[in-house]
Amino acid sequence: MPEQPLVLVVDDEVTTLETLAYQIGRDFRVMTAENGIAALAVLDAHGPFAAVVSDQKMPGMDGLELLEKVREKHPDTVRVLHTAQTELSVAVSAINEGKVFSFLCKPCPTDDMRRTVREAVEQYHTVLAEREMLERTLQTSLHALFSWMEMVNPRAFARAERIRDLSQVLCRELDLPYTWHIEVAAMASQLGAVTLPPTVMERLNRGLPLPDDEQKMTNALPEVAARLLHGIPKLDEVVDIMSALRATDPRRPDLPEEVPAAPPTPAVSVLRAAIEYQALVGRGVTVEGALAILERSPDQDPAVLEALSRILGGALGSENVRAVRVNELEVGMRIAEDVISVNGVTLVGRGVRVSATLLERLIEVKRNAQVAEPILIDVSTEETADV
Amino acid sequence: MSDDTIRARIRDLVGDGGAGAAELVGRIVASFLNRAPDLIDKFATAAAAGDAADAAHWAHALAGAAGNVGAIRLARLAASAERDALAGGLAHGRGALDAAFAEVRADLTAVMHDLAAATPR
Repeated sequence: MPEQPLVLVVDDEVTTLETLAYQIGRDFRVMTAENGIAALAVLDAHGPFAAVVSDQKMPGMDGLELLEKVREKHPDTVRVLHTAQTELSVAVSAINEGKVFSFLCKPCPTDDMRRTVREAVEQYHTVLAEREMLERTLQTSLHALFSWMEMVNPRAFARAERIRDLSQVLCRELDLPYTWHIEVAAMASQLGAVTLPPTVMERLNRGLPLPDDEQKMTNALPEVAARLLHGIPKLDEVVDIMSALRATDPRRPDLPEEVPAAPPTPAVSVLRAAIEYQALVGRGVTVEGALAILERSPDQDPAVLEALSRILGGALGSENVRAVRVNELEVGMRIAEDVISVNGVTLVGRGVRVSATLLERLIEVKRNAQVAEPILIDVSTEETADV
Repeated sequence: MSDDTIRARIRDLVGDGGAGAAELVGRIVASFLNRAPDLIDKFATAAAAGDAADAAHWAHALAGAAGNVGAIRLARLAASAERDALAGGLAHGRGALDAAFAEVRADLTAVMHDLAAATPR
């Protein structure tokens, strides 16, 4: 049986507190606090709370101030003001500043109190359920978007995966939190590549010089990704990361000078290093060469480059590749070289980890004798295989 | 008047909760009856000492506690004493509060007695 939701009641008058605990305690677990400071401590220590019912007039911190702090620190907790003060100004402030769910006058009839708290708890659950659904929808949509990228442009997808993995290792090395925003930004960094004609993509992959019009198309890739993601709920932070990457992109001589040069966040610095590094090695530059180029770049964060150097130092010389047939592939193996069809079309990009879906697809293609074998897989240690 | 609001409030709190609810409400009432004289003492002491803020604080606590058990007249008297104290007036004596509390105690005792008699054990 699920645990009953938790409700906090706050009042400096002890008999009122006992009464509220009695009224609400029939339906919910109740904790009490005699002032605002104690209430915040209880919320921090014993949360999450579905609702908080607070008196208005208390010494030190009044109810409105408390509920405002609750809104800032525990935005999901639904707030109810319970007061003997009937001034309109208090009610207006409660609604406008405290964004309270309900306003109850003392002494509150038991039925009204129980109904209001029940509705507050329902509101809490509704908000949580809506958010969960939104997050699941977002997760599914992103998965669909990146699966589409994998189908349309396997090389771009593979590069995105390598950028993502390197960013993760860099965050770990730098003791930075690796959030899902960074992961999505890493994958999205290559999203714009799906708009490039295959010939341009091929030249780009090989590091060949591009004519002006093609260079312009390539320069516009971050905008394409940002446009695709812009407006999707909860991706604001990802779009911010993408925009920061774009704003000081050293390959963008066409950027106006007034582009804000705010100091990059650690996430941006990590992604910038990962993207540039993968772009360089993707064009055939050696690991040592790529590091040397990055170290000369004013746009790279020295601390991130040191971390990258430490990681790659461990990886240097440890590459270990094995040739396998399609029927020997296993989920989790990492592809070490592009898998191509017999007529030269890239089926899977280098660096991709074999998933169950991918394995099924390759087996299907193999049935039609369309896969060029053997396939090279990376069997170096997990730490080094990640980069 | 006071008796009516107290009776209504106690009935409301007990609801249809039976003996268990009556016992819990009995504890809340006992807690109030123990606490209120102390609050009146503290208010009077602060008022006598000219400490308006402290007097207002204790008057506010008394108003809240009284309102909680439906003792509206006592709650209003205490709220008035609080307002006066906040306005700098400390002329409020304890006499009116003591008298009002004596009535409330008698009313609450009678209501709880009736409730105990009516509640099946």
